[in-house]
Amino acid sequence: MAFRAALFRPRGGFLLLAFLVLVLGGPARSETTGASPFLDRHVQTGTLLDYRQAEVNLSQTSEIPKTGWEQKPITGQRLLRDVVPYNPDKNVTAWYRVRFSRSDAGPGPLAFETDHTAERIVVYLNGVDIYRSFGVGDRFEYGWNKPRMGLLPEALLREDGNELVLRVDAAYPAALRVGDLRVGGFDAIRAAHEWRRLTRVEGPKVVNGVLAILTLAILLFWSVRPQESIFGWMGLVGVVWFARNIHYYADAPLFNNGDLFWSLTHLSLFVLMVVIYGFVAAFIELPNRRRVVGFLGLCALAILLLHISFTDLIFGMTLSYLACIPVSLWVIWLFMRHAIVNPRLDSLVMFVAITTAFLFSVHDLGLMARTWDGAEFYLQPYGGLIVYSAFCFAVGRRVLLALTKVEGMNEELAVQVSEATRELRESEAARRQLEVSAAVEQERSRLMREIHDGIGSNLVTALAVARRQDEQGPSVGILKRSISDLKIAIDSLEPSEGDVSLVLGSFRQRTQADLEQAGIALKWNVDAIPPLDWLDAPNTLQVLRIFQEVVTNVIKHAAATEIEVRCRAEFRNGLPGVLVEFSDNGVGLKGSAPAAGKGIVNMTARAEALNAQLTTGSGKNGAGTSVALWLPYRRTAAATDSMSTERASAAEATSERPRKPESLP
Amino acid sequence: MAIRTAVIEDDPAVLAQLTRLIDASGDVEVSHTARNYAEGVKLVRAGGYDVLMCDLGLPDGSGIDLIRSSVSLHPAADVIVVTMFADHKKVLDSIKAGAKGYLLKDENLEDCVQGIREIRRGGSPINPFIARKLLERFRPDTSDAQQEVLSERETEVLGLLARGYSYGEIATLLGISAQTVGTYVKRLYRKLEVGSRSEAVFEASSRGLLNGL
Repeated sequence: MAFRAALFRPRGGFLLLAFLVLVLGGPARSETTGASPFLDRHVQTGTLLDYRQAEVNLSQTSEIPKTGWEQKPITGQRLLRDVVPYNPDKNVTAWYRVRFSRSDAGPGPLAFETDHTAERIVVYLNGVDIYRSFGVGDRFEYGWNKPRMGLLPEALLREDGNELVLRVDAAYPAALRVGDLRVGGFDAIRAAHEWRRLTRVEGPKVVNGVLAILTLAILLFWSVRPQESIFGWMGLVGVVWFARNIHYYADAPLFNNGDLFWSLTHLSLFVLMVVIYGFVAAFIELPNRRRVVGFLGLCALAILLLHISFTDLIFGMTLSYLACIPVSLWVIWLFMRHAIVNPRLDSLVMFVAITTAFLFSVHDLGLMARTWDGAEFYLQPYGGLIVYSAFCFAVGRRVLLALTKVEGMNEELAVQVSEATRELRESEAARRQLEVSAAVEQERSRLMREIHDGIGSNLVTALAVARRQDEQGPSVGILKRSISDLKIAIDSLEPSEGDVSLVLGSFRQRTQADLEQAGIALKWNVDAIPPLDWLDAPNTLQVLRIFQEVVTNVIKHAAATEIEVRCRAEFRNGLPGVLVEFSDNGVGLKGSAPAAGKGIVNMTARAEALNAQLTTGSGKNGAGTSVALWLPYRRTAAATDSMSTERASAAEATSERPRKPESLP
Repeated sequence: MAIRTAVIEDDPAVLAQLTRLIDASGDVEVSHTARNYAEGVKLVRAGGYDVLMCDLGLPDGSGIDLIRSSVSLHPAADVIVVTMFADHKKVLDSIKAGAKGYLLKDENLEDCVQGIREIRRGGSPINPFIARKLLERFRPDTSDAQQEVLSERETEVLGLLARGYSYGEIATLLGISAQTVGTYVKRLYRKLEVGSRSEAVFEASSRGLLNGL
């Protein structure tokens, strides 16, 4: 009899606990540090009989066989793979027998425990049936992941040579086996058993509950936004992982065909990899993903067909698990590349999660093959939760980012709207400005038409009549001056854009005939000069009136034969300006009539109103008269437009009086 | 052969004076007259004149339209706008419509024969505002690339005209004949007339854009 007494060590338990606490949000318990919270100190130091070998009997009998027992290692050994052929109508049976003394197992009530049995068991103590996993008949059931525990009745126990016999039967010879077999004090056994049940059976159930809720939420979301394929894939991952997790805690196949259920269960790992690939491909938007998913789907179908046609479960299982390796490595590679290219939190989290799940699967394979004990329970169901949580995190983060972006877009839109509003306002203002200009232009045209058809026409007719009566008569002069005034007023309204030389040019057109008639030759010497900003229509009228006054004076009083008009840029007191100079070769200021002097007073007043300077002096070689008007480029702040207009109007008013009697005979 | 001149003018006094002045010249004659738009339309349709003198402010229609149809029907005939005070915008509009010169109704009326002779010799009168308008219109940096640009000499001439220099003075300054200056101006009028057709489209579309805002 070989047994090994071992201290109970909850290997890897703290890892799961930490995870469960994290995931389920339960409060951490203070006693949990370093040991299972389900064992008290007494139990932890207790003694267990941990059988790694047993006497095995492969007789296909219904009673405990008498002979044919053989010492064998039991842990993870598949016994009948090559001995008994598969027969779907008949379970195969194996017998295990261990012995122990009452004293070895310690005082108090005793119990036995196996971490799993494949599949159904009946336990006999000293020949008496004390435990069974099923009731009657040949109910098909799963025990491959089920820890089982039973009390060893005190009445049946002997002091020495106690015989514990396990009868295990299964539908598949290849599946037939038992896990660790332990005998010991009831409390110690129960504590270990509770832990095992929690980690192997209850844990996956809880995980599936969480998965179900998350998946439902995701699918609900997807049903609202079916164009977001990422949610569809995520929901699919949840559904497949949920379905796969069922076999960790199911007592029996979910439907009658146990073979199919089992095949589907094994295949589910591959399908899981395919849908995870689909999720990843949708998440990082891989090209060709539809084709790849289609191809992998066909692979899954092929594997399923192989599963069904090959009765050897191990072969099918191996095939589907082998197929998982390249796909899972591929997925890990995709995630890694994505995490490297986009070193964002969600990429990293998903990479870590999927790698963890892969390592969990490797762990589970080892555990299943009894290559190692590891955490002593299957980690894959928990891997599902980790991966799913990571996916939720990544997708949630993406949704959050999208929402933030939408908010940002709203702000951006608000900015754009305000910008557009501003532009609209500006264009509206510009339009109004245009309307004003158009209205001014229209009014000007109307005035022109009025003048043209009315006053102007009448004046011209009157002039013609007056001339016919008496060419030299006084009314001819008055009429001519009236026409001249009218034309100057109209010219001032023309858009000269502040160009003094242009104003001078137009003035020349108006006066040329008068000068010629008076026999005065005109010398024109006008430079091109930059425009004056302030020279608007009213100010232009003032400038033109000054010009007109000068030329009128020359014609009337100077007795000149020549007048020279010069226009050039000139600085005065360091300020830039334009100098317009009229020089004649007449009698000069002293020789002229006093009316000329009054005219100069008027002109000076007008010039002051414009912030300009009017200077008079002798012409060239001391003969004749020179009148110069200097216009500054920039007017000082004191001279606002309204002021200048006011003062100009005042000048206009004062200038009317001396002019009128002068023009009349 | 005398230059046949058609006159469209609603003011009887002005029409009488023009007829008197032209008929007195010897080398120019008044061949047709019209006193309003309706008559003007018939006059233009009938043709048979070398020079059309057209008033813009007709009581029953726009002289601009008459100018336009005359230019399209009788491209060989020159059009002179008769206007009261050289309302420059109107003059510019008539140049765009195809007029080659303008005549002011007041004292310049005496110069009408001289003006007609000038036009027939290939020259056009101009005033500073219109010269400046032409300069702006043909400024190379404005509007589209397709439009004609002014030569350096044309720009020079226009610049001087805008500052009030006479043809004779410009001719002296630039060492060319006064006749040539007039020819420059006529050519520019032609450019403006051609340019105004595409400009009209542009203006219409930009107005449409403005409405769309």
